[in-house]
Parts: sequence; C-alpha cells; structure tokens
Amino acid sequence: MINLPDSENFHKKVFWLCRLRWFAVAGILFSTIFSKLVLNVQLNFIALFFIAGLLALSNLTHILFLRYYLNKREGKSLIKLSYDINIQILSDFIFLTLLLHFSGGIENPFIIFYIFHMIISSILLPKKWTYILTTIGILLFASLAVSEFLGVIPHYSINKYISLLIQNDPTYLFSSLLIFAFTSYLVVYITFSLSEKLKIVEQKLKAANNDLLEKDHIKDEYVKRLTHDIKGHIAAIKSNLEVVYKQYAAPVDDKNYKFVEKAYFRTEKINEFIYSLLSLTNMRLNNKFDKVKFEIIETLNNVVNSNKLYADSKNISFTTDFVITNSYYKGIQSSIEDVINNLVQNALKYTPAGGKVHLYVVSDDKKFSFTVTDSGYGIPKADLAFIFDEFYRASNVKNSIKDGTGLGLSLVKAIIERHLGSIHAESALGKGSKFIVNLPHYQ
Amino acid sequence: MSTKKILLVDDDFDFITSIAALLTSKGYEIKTAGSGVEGYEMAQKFMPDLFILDVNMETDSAGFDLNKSLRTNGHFKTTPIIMLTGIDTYTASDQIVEMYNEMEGTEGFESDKVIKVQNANGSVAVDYVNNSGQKYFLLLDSFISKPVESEILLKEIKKFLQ
Repeated sequence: MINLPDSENFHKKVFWLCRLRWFAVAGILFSTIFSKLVLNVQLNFIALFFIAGLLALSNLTHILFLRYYLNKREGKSLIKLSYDINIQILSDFIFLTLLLHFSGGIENPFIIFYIFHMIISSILLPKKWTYILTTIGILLFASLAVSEFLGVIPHYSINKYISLLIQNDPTYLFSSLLIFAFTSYLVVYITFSLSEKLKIVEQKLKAANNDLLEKDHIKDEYVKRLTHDIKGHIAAIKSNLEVVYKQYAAPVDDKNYKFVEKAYFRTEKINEFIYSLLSLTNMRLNNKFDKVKFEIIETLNNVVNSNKLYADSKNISFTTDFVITNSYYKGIQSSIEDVINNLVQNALKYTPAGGKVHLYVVSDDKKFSFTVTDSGYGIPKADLAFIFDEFYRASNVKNSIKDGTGLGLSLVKAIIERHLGSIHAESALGKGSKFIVNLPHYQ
Repeated sequence: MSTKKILLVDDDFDFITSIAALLTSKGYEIKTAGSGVEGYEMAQKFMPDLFILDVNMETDSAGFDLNKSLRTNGHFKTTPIIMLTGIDTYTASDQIVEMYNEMEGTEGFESDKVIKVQNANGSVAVDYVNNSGQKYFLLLDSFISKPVESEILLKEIKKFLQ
C-alpha cells in the first residue's frame, strides 16, 4: 500500500511527491531501454535520456529549494508550499508531454500517466487547483496530439498502424481525446470525493481520540482526588485501631481481640490498595523529570530483606542471582523498588509452600533487567493477556487468594512504561510463571 | 532521665488522639494543637523536646511554615521536628529542583506540587509554595508519610530523643 502522508504535514506531502519522481526517472530510463532492447521499438533515445536527465535535475533543485525554504521559514507558510505542489505537477505535465512527443505521442500507451498526477493533485490540493491542473493536463495532451496530427510539429511514430489509423480517420483521434478528457475529470471527481471523505473521517477520529485522552485525564484526576481524601480517613482509622489492637492505652479482652485484629488487617489491605491506586494515577498524571541516579544494589537489598521473612514463613526457597557491571540506574527509585517488590511478592504469594522463587538481575551498560521466576500456580493462558489490566485477577486464584488488589501489575506496567522499558510474562499452569522486565539506560 | 515532651500539631483530631495515646503509653509527655498558629503558641508554653507536625492544616503549607518559624525562634533552633503528613509529594534530587526553578513560569508547568528532595546522604528537604505564593526550600529532620506504623514512628522518635 502506498504510504500516503496525513493531511497535517504539508511539507511531508511535497517531499513525498519528490520521492515519487525519482521512481519516475528510473521508470523512464528502464522502459526506454526495455523498449529498445526487448520490444525493438524505434525511439529518439537521445531526446528521451536528455529529458529524463532534465527531470532528475529539476527534482534535485526542488528538493534543495524545499530544504532551504523549510529551514529558513520553519514551514510556517503553507500557502507557498501548495504553490510549489502546483508548480511541480505543472512541470511534470510538461515533462510528460515532452516525453510523449519523442516517443510516439498519442500512440504511446504511457498517456495514461497524466491520470496519476490528476489523482495525486486531488489528494494533495484543494478542489479548484485540482480541476485547473486537470484541465491544463488535458489541454497539453490535446494540443500535442492535434499539433502532431496537423503537422505543426513532427510526429515520431512508434507504431505505424496506429499512426495510419489516426491519419486516415481523424474521428478516432478526437473521440480518443474526448474519452481521455472525460475519464480524467471523472477520476479526479471520484478521487476527490474519496479523499474528502477520508479527511473528514481522519478529523473525526482525531477529535474522538483527543476526547478520550482528555476524559482519561479527568478520570485520573478524579481518582487521585478521591483516593487522597480517603487516605486521610484511613490513616486516622488505622492509627486508632492500632492503639486498640496493640493495646497501648488499655488491654483488650480475648473476646474482642480477634475482631479488632480482623479490622486492623482489613484496614492494612485498604491502605495497600489506596497506595497502589494513588501511585498508579500519579504515574499516569506526572510526566516530569523526577528520575535520579541510584545504586541498584541498595534497592535490591531492600526488596530481598522485606521479602525474606515471608518466604521463610511459607517455606519457599527464595534465591537471587545478581550480575551487576553497571551499578547505577537513573529512574524513580521508590517506583523501581515497587516494581521488583511487587513481582517478588506476587511470586511468593502465588507459589505454594515448598516452592521456589528466583530473582535474576542483570545490569550492564545497555540495560537494567530483572526476571522473577516462580514454581507457583501459573496463569491460565486465557488470562495472560489481561493480567496488566486494572482490577484484573487471574481466574484460577481469584477465589482462593482473596487479598490481591488487582492493581499491582497495572502499577508495575505504568512504572515500567514511565521508564521506557518493557515487561513480558510467561506462564505454564501448575508449573509456574516468569516475569521479565527490561529497562533501558537512557539519558 | 526526665520525661521527654512531644508536641503534636495536626488538624485531624481523631488522628492525633490515637498518636497521643500511643506516645503516652510509651512514657512521653504529650500536648496537642490543631493548627499551625495554635502549635506555635503552645510551643512557647510547653517547650517540647520534639515536634510532630502535619503539613496541610489551616493552609496547605501550615506545617512547613510552622517548621520554618520554629527554626528562626531561638529556643527551637535545634529541636528535632518530624513531619508526619498525608500530602502528596514527589521525590527528586536537588539538581532536579534547580531545573524546576528554572522552568518556573514556562507554559504548562505546574508548581503547586511539593517536591521532596531526597539527598544521597539521607537528608530530606522540601521545595514548596506557601499560601501567599512564595517559594521556599526547607531542610527537614524527618519526613514520614501517613498512615504510619507505630513501630516506625517510635523508632524515629527514639532516634532523636536518645
């Protein structure tokens, strides 16, 4: 498919046109040589090669002029550029007419190449200009054919039968010209209607996309406000409950203790949830340079230390392997720690007692990457594509392990995207899962 | 050893009563205040050995403002202050704060955020805008985000009051 430039970048259109012209030059040279060697057609080679050379030269001039012009004006005045397209198409018509003149005029099947430029101009130019150019093209071709017919200019025949037919039957010539003119206008009309329609669709899509982005932003702001307001209440609830649960003020009797304990742990869960949700929305809303250079090993040690106890308590063998030749990474330190922590915690959570969890880290000059492998329950194939979606929880653990928020992996993904990295998950049901994160060292 | 005195300043009454209960049980003498202004008055009378301050009270930056005025007051120049707050901060290095200040006023740039500067040596500072729009850079002794585990808070207090 031809890669058409979109309607906004006008200067791209002009360069697109210039690029197409190189193909035209190559095409002329090829078809001339082909006609000579294979078809054995008598052609005025010197004239044709000369015109092809001239076309190449004019194209080069165009490109150089455009580069100079765009550098100077920074592409501000679009009107001038559309003039340039007019001039280019006009000069192409003249070149084509000259080429046709030296290669048989109306006898040459390449007369349909006028249509190409008519299509191109109806894509690139406004309606008025398209019709003017089309008319000029038709007139150029008609005047070539008629002047050759009348003998005003010489006729270089390539096919004596067609030549004879035209000489003997002028109606053929004029009806051909009429059909040519009619076809040209029809093609322009159809292309123009189509490209207009496409432009409208393109605009609508763009508007819809902007609308969606804006709504998403509003949603994020809203979620952030909401969670932030809830956070204050949770902080108060948690610290009050803690006083009772840890019996700082007065002892709690055994009958009440278990209720307080449950309430306290549920508050912890809500708190975790709110932390994830806030981090996630913040990650989406802030787009600023908050990255600092930090020591990777420090972060890794924090992760290992905060997960060791849990791994031991579940009797899971938690092993690590760090291959660090570049000990620094520039990023949001707490967020990167969140990512590794989240993946390790998930691995520990979704691996039954007696299993294995392994954290493998490589940091070299190119990338900082880590892989968390577990021998856990695994993720069903149907769920694997959705695990990074907000609030999504895999079907095989949704009901048995209830304390997941469904936000952990969304946060992980948002953080990794903020760092221009990638995450990839592999899993086999009943055998375990593997999460691979690659973060580039950039800046 | 005499009883150490701690002044809690926070406009969330439910929150500070629980913290007060916790700290009282650990043997500290506690007084509370519900605003920055009240906190400053109370400080003169109570003469605490340590402050625990919220940030967002009568103004968005009341806690930081109180921190600043305590530092300029002769009595409390070196008294440890723990900021205990739920405000949204945004961690950065000091070079980034410099870049921020240079970008100030450029189009599409928000400066209403509190930037928490985490220096390599472990010290913490904040870059914030007060209620009348002035920008300040404030060095802090300690910054803890709400909600906080009692053990973490107690450890932090002990660090300053040994």
